[in-house]
Amino acid sequence: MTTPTKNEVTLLAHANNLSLDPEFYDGVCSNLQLLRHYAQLVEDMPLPDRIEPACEYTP
Amino acid sequence: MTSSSTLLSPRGLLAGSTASIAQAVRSQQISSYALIHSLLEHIPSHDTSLNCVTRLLHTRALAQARTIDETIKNGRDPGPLAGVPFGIKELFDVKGEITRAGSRILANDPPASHDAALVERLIQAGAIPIALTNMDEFAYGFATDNAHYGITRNPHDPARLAGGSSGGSAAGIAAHFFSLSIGSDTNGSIRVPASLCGVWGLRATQGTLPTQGSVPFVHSLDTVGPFADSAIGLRLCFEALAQTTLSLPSPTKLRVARAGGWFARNVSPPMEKALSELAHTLHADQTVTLPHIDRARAAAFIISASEGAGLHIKTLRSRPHDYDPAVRDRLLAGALLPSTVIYQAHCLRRWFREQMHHVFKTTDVIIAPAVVGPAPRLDQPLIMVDGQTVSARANLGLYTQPLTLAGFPVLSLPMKTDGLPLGAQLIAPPGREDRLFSLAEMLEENGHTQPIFRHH
Repeated sequence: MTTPTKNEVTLLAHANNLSLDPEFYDGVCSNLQLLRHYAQLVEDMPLPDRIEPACEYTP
Repeated sequence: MTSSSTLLSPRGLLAGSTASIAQAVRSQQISSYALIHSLLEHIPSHDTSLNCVTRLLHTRALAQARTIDETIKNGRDPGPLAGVPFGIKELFDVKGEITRAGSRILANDPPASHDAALVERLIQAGAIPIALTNMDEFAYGFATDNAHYGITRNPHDPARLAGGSSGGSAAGIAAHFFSLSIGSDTNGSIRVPASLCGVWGLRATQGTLPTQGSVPFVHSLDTVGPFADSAIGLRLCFEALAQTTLSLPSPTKLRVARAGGWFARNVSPPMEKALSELAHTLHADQTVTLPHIDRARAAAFIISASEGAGLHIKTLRSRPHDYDPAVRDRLLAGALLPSTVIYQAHCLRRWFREQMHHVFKTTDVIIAPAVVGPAPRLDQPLIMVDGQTVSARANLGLYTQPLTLAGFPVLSLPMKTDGLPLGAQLIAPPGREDRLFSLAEMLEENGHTQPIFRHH
């Protein structure tokens, strides 16, 4: 898991047509780091290749 | 003979529960108008230090109370919740009011032209809409700490958090402002504040209660539902909201297990004591371990951040400074996630739901803590997780958020305790709210839960 840098966050934001004010960076970086921790947990989960995503809720 | 003195405290606030109010109003022992008038008069001075309420619905509440009184005088049925005052998280549409959802972004929208489905159904059942309640902006938080409209304080100790994001709806019941309320629960926003404020709450089976007329947050995980001052009140409210009548199974026939593993770690000593006593009362000798709870929670985090960002992306581009900074930074970070991990989170959701169904083959109800311990202090909003001191605001959903991923119904109840409130989660398979209410009402009737009106 990499710690996001300001340069990286700027590039990612531009790719999604977002421009971040300097005052946003610390908060966005710390939240993105937290999300990357969770993303790692999700991606490391061994799941069957053919499992379908549950995009709609079914009981 | 019930009189206003048994339903209203010397402070002019509520002193009786949902069922006793409905019974007294129906039998004309107190007029709905007198009860609502007293609350409207006395809530403002008591709410100054708590900040549960963002707007009182004076005109609407008094008009509705008059209608209920007239209905009863004319010999017609006023409904099962006759005259019962309820609070509304301000993300629900209320006709004539601006639906702000705790934001400045929506504060200049036109007023709602219709009531949200849940508001409409409670009014149909005879309940009186009395107040809009405070929340985290756009329901993205566990604290009800709102940069625009202030923090909601815990009525049991105003130096502590009420929890969120539906904090005003939970705290308003604990403060005796109203008997019932409605909120939303995406990752725990009903169960967390219910637990910290010592009231009853329900995250119903996903899709059971209509979200129509409410501001969305995370389409894949959003639910809306009730808080109440009692188990019976919660059932009456749920029945009105779901437009159904439950037939409750015998509580003695239900197999109850306690959740181990993730749900047994990080539990504070008072929570452990209360939960062990609850498990003993319910003969929950068996412990079940739900698989990969850390990953289930992670998937709920990823889906919430990405879908929340997707919903807000245009406003994040055009008006980022109008957001609560804490919410804005969470949403912006969500907008920077790769799509591949979002897809994988939804695959994990499918897998986790199947595992939850498997666990329920050997048990009917599972009990688990709702939060790690009592409400954190405002000046020290920290909790211990895995030996680390971490932000309470980000981690109050430790035990609620993973269950969100499966969409199963969960009832949060106030356990018997000597100190600050502590909530337990009762979990059932989809559509089996009847099991949860069966146990809840048995526990309440036998004095195994903490009554709301202990001081009267």
